[in-house]
Amino acid sequence: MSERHEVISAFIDDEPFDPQELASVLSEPSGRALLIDLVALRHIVQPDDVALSGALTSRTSSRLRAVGVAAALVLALGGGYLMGQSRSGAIPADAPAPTRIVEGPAAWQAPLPRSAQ
Amino acid sequence: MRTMQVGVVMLALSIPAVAMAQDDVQIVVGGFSTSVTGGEKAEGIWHSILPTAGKAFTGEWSMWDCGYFQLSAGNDGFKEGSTNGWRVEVTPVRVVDRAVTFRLRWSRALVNGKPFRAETTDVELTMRPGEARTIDRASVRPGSKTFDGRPCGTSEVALRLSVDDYPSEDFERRLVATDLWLVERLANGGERSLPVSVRGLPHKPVAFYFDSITEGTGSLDILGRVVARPGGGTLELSLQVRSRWGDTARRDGEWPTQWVETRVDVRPDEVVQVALPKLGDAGGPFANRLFSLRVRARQLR
Repeated sequence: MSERHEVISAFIDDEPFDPQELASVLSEPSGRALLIDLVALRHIVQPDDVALSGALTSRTSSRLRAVGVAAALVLALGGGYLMGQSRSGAIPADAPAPTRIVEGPAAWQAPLPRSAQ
Repeated sequence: MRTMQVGVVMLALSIPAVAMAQDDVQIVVGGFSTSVTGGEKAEGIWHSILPTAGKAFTGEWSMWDCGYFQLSAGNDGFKEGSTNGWRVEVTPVRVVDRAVTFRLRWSRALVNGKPFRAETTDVELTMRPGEARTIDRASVRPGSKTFDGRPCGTSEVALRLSVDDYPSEDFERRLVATDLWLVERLANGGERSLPVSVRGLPHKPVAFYFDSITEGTGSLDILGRVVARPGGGTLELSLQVRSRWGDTARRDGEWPTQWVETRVDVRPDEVVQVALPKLGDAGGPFANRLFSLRVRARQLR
């Protein structure tokens, strides 16, 4: 089992983990994918109709909480990543003041030149 | 024997010559084949020549079997068993504003596997990037087979010369970002603008499209393409801007389209404004609106 796997697994199972290490792992797409896989796997292996004892209820609640936190983390990290991506190509909507003005073409032409058709 | 076959030549001849590039252009001689049942395609074998003035570049092209090519750049003679062979010599003369002038001397020296004394064609040509011409064509012998013994699907081959951008797209790493704003001057003295940011390779047209501007049911599209040419700390931008408008309430009818072209040198720290002419009668409800472009460009790598 890899260290990445262990820290994510510990996080989901509500066991002690290093938050910095978890943040580092989840900052990478492969780490986030692993988290989702593990959450899905736990969802599949968890029985549907279990008569929950008090201890189990508490455990499940903490698991749900953990999954909720994980989902929030994924959203936060993923959202930040996507926002960063879209920002990298964005420019201000308001045009900056020109530093130089050059004379433009005198008139529009038609029809289109062959190279533009 | 210094020969090169399919797929190797472009790489082998292009990379060592990077330092000699002039005006980012190259002369390329390449082999093409025409399918019996389809169109023409490049065979993937090229002689890439950087325009070093006064230096003659000779290639010996062998063709055999199913229109296969082999190129020798070392006067080694033709491949044994070739059905056709050409000697092609290119001597660059000068480059002016990316227009390359060169001498082309070529002859077909082998026909049907036998030496052939054809007249040598000797011409001086001037071509710009994107232009090409066919040097010669030859039919593939009926009954020819492929490497693995299947019937040949090629009907004829051609040698073609072109002038292209250098380096070719596969090897180009430079990247240019161009920010454009379409600015409208309002009657109250204010202005409003639409932004677009594009990235592309030097010398390659990059399309841009501003959001549509509406007036009632009328819609105006301003779009175009920009070509960036790096040089001396500035970028020379060629801007072709097109305008077209139409009535969105109507499904029929053409949208009248007009265009303008302008060139502007832009330093990385500049925002250059270029006024666009009024659209006039062809602009419908947008005839008297005042638009200009503001442009900012920089080479990213």
